[in-house]
Amino acid sequence: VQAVDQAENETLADHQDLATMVRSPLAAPRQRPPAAVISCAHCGLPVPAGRKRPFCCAGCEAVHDCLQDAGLARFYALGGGRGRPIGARPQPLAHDWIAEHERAGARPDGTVALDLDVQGIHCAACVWLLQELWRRQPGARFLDLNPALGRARLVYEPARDTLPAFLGAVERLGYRLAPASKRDADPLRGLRMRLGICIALALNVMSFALPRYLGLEAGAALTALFDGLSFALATVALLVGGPVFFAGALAGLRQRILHLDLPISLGLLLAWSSSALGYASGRGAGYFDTLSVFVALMLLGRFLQQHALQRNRTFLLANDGAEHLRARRIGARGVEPVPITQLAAGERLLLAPGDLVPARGTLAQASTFSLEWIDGESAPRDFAAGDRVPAGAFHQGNAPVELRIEAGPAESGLLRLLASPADDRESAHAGARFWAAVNRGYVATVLALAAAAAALWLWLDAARALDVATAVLVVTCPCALGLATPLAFDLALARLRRRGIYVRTLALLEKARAVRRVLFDKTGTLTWGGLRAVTLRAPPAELRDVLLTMVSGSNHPVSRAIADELAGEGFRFVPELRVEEIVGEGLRATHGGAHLRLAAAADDVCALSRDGATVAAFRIEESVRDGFRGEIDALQRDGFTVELLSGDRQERAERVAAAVGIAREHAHGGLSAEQKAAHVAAGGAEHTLMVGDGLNDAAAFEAAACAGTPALDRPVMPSRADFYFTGTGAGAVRAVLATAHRLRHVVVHNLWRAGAYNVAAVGLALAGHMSPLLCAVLMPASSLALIATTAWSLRSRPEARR
Amino acid sequence: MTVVPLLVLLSLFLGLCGVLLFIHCIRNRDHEHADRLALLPLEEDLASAKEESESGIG
Repeated sequence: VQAVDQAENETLADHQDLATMVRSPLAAPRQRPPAAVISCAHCGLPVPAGRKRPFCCAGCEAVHDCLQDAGLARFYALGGGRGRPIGARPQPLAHDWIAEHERAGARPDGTVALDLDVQGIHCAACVWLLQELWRRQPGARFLDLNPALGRARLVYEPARDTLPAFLGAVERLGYRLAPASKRDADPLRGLRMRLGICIALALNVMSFALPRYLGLEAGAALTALFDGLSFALATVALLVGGPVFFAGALAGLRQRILHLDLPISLGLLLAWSSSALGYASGRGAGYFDTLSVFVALMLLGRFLQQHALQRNRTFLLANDGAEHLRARRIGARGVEPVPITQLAAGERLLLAPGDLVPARGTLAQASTFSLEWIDGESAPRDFAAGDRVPAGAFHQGNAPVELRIEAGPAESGLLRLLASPADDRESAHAGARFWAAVNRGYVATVLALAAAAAALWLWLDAARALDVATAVLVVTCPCALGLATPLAFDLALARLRRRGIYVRTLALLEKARAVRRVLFDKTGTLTWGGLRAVTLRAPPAELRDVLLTMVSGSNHPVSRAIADELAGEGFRFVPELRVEEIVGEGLRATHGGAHLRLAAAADDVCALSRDGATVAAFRIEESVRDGFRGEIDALQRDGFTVELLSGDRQERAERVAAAVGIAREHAHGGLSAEQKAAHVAAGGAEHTLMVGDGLNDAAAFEAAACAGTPALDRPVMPSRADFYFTGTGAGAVRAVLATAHRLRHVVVHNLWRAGAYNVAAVGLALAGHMSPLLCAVLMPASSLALIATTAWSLRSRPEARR
Repeated sequence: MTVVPLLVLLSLFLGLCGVLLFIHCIRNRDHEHADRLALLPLEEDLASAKEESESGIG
């Protein structure tokens, strides 16, 4: 209980920090946060107003109930009192790949060994949960989880349906498993290896420098050995660690950019050259120890930064687009699952309810399809037999239908839509003018100071000119830029991760500071993507169970919405009722001799009629994500322009805009993907943050400076975005913007501190008082001080917790 | 005094062995195993809970 309280308080503190931080940069009036914020019993995030139970979203509620019912509440104790935000209620996925992979993974002893990718693992509690669920499955033999890679190896007896049961159980808790497809290559392998070697070398060189600092005479017998070893090991450190920075500096110079790697490279080369010269002329080991530590620290900074991003990128299943999608092909031997890349025109497919249409084709039977992913329209559309269905539609009908392919997935455009974008969001809007200016100023100042020092000492004492110039370059090593900044970045990303926000690109937190306009897609972003029914006229008591029996057997979104609206206290299933679902005409049934019909009565109204007379009516509206009204109000108060872009009809866009507090003139409906991108560009793309979830938002993503998405279940959009988020998403945009401002605040303060240190150290160096010993003390001390102040600045504030 | 250079070389050799092992781990992607080792107590808990339930304890 204590742990839960603490976690909740931390979340409240984060929430309050956020409100303060977003406002301050824009100099808007500060307002007190609400006095009491209820925290979600699952994830600890604030619960939006209007929710009946203490959960921020339906997903958290479902997962919490599931854990309690299954006796798995220990998850919370192991996870520090809370889980991660979920979002929409987790839905079980299609597992038509199992049979194919079980055949490939069969072993002689009758068991099957499979490697699967896992999405959603983030802590020891997740590992425990998956292990516990696996242990409960009949036929489960062995499960080895690699949380760092997001990979699981399972061994089980296939005859006992172990895997489908396990997948169903874990998917209900928000995890996803799929055939292993993440690339095995570790992009950080080289950097990790260089870092490890350079740390080992730095420790050894320091140990050889220590005896001299502690008073070992220069002429002592061991001095030559220690100096020689220092020279050799520091040279190896330079050869192993240096190329990382030399390559960056050279690339920068080729593009005429003064990159941070340039002063690092110059410092390294000059420190090594002057120390090697000193060593060759018998003047001792010089700065070899400082050089080795410097290489290790700079590599550590580089690694921290890359590792944080890599972790967020590997959290999701591999986003290789269509490569792992399967379709049910009707062939001579019946229905067989095949990769959609193998489909060809003329072949026939069986589309089960919920299936993605992988290629454009004509329908053999009438059914309903959702085009939400293609054009953002939330309402499903009816298609008659013989109609052409586009690739990218989702089958929403109640029964399987047959589709004859007209054009393969490539010609249908699906593969192009699913493929990851060619351009990298890091470079598309590099916009890091701040860092360019800092680097330029830093490099110019340091080089000028070193030249001035050399000139001054050439005049005073020519023999010491090189030593002094080297001392200036060594003591001004950019620790603040090279180590403290990556650390601040890592801590900022960790804070966001706790809120269910995963940053994918390095440039986001720099670009986000320029954001003044936030554009939201409607369907799937501001809404859950599904529909909600509001009772206009409740059904008569004797028909309530009948109506619920009718809608509970239908997969149509309107039926599901009515079932959610009415089924709160449960219902008695009417087994004798025969329900008929007719595409385009709704549900029909006969009960007690009366003809019942549930169908659309008017635009957005669905009515139940008995023998032609209306007995119940529901208004069907989109289910707006909880908490977005407050989020958008806060953004607008802080001076941001908030707009809604949608491919759906204008009146629907305006209705949702009104529900979340966006002005009517800022609601833009009926936009194609290209029109959305044009709208982004017209209003100043460099100041725009776009939040969307559908493929029709992809062009707008590429146009906007920053992009975010909640569409984790469609592993295409996250690869096009700068960040993705779980949970309701309320607060995600402000959290990103606030973190960007806070990170800049911390970095600027670090630069001031580093500047003060450099003024003092350069003064000593110019005066000729800097020695290798003083340098060996000052440099790590200044680095440690900066690390400590960075960690302190980005902590959760204890006063806010109270 | 003459033993010091010997000890220094020995320690360097051990350091070198450590670095080679580290490189081996990185190449084989075993370094992530540390994460899994950190979770071993959980597996022991599970095993003991299973044994207890099988023997009727608790």
